[in-house]
Amino acid sequence: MTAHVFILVIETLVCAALLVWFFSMPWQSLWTAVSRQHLFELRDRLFDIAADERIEFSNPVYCRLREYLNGCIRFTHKITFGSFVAGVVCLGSQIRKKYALPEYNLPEAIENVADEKVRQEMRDIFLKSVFVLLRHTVIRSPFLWLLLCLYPLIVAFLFVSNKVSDMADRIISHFKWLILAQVDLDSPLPPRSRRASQLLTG
Amino acid sequence: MTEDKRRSEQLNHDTGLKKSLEQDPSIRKFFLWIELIGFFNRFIRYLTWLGLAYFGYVSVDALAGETTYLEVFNSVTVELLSKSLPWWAVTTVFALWAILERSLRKRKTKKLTKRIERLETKLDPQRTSSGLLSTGDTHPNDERSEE
Repeated sequence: MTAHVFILVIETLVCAALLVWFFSMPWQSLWTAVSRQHLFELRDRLFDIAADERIEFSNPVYCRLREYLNGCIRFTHKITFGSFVAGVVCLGSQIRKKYALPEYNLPEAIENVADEKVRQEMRDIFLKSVFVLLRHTVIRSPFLWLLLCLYPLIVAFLFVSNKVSDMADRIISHFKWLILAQVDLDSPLPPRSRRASQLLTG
Repeated sequence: MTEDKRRSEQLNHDTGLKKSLEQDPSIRKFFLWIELIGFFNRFIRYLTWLGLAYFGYVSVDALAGETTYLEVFNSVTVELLSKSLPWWAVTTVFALWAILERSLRKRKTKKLTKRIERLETKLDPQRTSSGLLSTGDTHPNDERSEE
């Protein structure tokens, strides 16, 4: 190894180390801050609805939606693809049971708000918060990117391999027909007992 | 109610809630999974650092006995100071710019948070907080096991 190659190797290693550090530290805190900012904007929008006296600050649905947004903001740093999978695996059935109860089902509580415009805005705030958290989960997990990148490749590979095998089947059957037709032409049998005509009539 | 008092009340509430939640076996299982995933993440990260360090060691080892320090020094000077310097310089300048922007954002957030809290409390005296620090950072009590 020459000194020139050595320098290149060291440079590459330093760049790789910097990238690993970047995706495990600043990238994570940056996206936590970005998602929190979006959730704060949603919470401000909710506050403005109450400040405009379209709903009371003491309204239970308002309080629950605000508490939900506060919880999301507070624990954004802990929401990862891994914690999502663990939650689904360990608490999935429990969450489904719990959310069947009206006092825990926030979307259902929002649907019971009397004013239609306020209801629509609250529904929008809730859905946007879910979208923000989903995007946050995907963007923060390089492992999930790998899965998402590999998934279309695998699907494309299966699609192409299926197409290729279909095409091969068609070519083989085409040639089979040609061979059968040739055999029929050369055959001394009467036309109705020939193989190609038997295949055609089923 | 002062921010400190509210925070200590929230902390007591959280500790009680966590204790009551830990009675549930499926929640205990969930916390165990979270710990395992955290351990796996740390393992992968340390393995990557170890791999990079190993490649560095192997390249130094390959050079040993074949090249003098002077040659390496010359190469470093020529490569880094003439060919790669513009890239390192540009990267450093952008990194400094990002750090300055970040500190400015935190200062601004700290200033505006207090103002917003004061004004909103006038309209809603029962206003609830997200529990973050005034700079917008995670509170140290919530920071444990952040991955």
